[in-house]
Amino acid sequence: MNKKTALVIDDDKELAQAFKVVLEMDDFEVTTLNDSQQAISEIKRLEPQIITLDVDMPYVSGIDILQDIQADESLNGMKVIMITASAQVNDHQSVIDRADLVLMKPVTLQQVRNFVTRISKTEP
Amino acid sequence: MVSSKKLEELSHEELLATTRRLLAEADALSSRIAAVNEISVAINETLDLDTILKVVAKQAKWLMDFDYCSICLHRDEKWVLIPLFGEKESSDIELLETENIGQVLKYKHPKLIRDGNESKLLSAYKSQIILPLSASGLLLGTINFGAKDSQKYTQDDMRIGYMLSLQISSALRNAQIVQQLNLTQDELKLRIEDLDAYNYTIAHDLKSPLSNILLTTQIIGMKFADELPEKGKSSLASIERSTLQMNEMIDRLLWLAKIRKFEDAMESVEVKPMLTAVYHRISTLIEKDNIKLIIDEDLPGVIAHPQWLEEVFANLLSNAIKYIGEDNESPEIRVKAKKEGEMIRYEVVDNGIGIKEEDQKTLFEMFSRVKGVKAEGTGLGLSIVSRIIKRMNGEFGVKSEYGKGSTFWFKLVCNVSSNVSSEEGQQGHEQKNSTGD
Repeated sequence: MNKKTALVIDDDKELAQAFKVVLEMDDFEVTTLNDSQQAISEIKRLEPQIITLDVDMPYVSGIDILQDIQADESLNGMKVIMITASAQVNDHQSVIDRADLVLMKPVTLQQVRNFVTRISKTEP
Repeated sequence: MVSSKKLEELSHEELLATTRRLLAEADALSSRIAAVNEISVAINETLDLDTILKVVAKQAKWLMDFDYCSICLHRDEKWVLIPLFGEKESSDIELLETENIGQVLKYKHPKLIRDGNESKLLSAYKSQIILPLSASGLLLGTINFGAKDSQKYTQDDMRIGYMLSLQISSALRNAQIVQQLNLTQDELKLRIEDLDAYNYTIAHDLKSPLSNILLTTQIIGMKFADELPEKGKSSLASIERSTLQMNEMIDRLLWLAKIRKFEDAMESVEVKPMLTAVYHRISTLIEKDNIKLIIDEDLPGVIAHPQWLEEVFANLLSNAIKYIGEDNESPEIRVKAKKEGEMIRYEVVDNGIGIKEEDQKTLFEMFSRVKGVKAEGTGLGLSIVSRIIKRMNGEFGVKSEYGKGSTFWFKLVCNVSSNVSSEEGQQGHEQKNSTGD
């Protein structure tokens, strides 16, 4: 069986590390990325099953990255979790809503694990 | 000449002629004073500088019979001449250096020129009256009248001009004060916007470290579940509770920072689907406490900001849940509406613990909480509701009787097609929100 892989993209190093630990609990091999400018090249290189993507990042926002992922057919199978800072409607809400899961900070352990369990069941 | 004789020496005819002449002069003078009054009324009706100048240019012509009229004012650190009637003077001349206007600005005394002077400014006008404009001890500038003929103006003209200058001065001063106030207000608005943006950014950025604290706490709790003693587990649970409480506070700060910006987004809002969305947000709490939630069928639409109205309902309902009372045997919350003129009054009625009269007064203040009650929350909720409703041109209040329950109500402008009426009992003390921003 192939190793399950995940990519955590968040400019907050500590938070990215926490997400890494959570995903490792479900046996994912996790890479963290703090520089969003390298996001698309890293996504293409690693081809992860799950990407957690912070909405607000300097230089390249999570919204731009999500749009790039969705515009590229070769990346279509990846599951994207968008992490937003607040419940307030973002100017790009319609884009954010196209992610596989949208979580509001503070994200709980259970929210992430529930999602992972759910997609593991649907994956062939 | 008649005037060289003493009155006693005058013949009957000469006396009559003198009397007629004096009467005519008095009549003319009184007409001019009346005209000054008319101008005064007109320029004091406005607080706009341009309008004041237009009125002066139009109405003073008859009064002073000039070929030229202008006002000298201080603008951008220098004295400038604003022509109201007649040819425009050269703008290269330094006004303070001139023999006519410059002298009046320096000494603040009116100047009457009967037969030309050496000043380069207004050199085409042999007769000139130049009057200082000042109010509250502050020199505002001068008003200048010129006529091409020499010997045109008398001391009487000067007096009339002086009366006019007093009125213009006070109108100009008022216009200036208003202009300054407007500028200050604009500046304040900008600063408030800056502060809001700053608050928003800070609150927003706090979310990431907070997320990390929560997640890491939960990771420790899960990974080391077997190794941690009970004390350690309870400490972790305490960290988690505080983190969630802090999150709630940050969320409210985010709301507060954004409240000022939504006036443009007011629209007609249907309340029923909105309450369904709110119900989904709070259903866990409702079910946990076994609360009977009754939402009336007739819920007319209002003019509001949809997102913020949803927040109002969510706040009021979670508040009602919080204060429903631990030993309440049949906890019940009801949402109802009725039309009151152009407004719709919405009520969230609960049979919870109620609020003492003395506590109702501080209810809408930031961080206020009902004393002696075990309820979660930061106390920011009602202050937010109060602000939101006010920003949506509405009213917000509470009536409550301690031990019997509370009714939180708000009124918003009805959207066009709404029509509803319902009965309601008026019980308990009513506290209408009157807190300022």
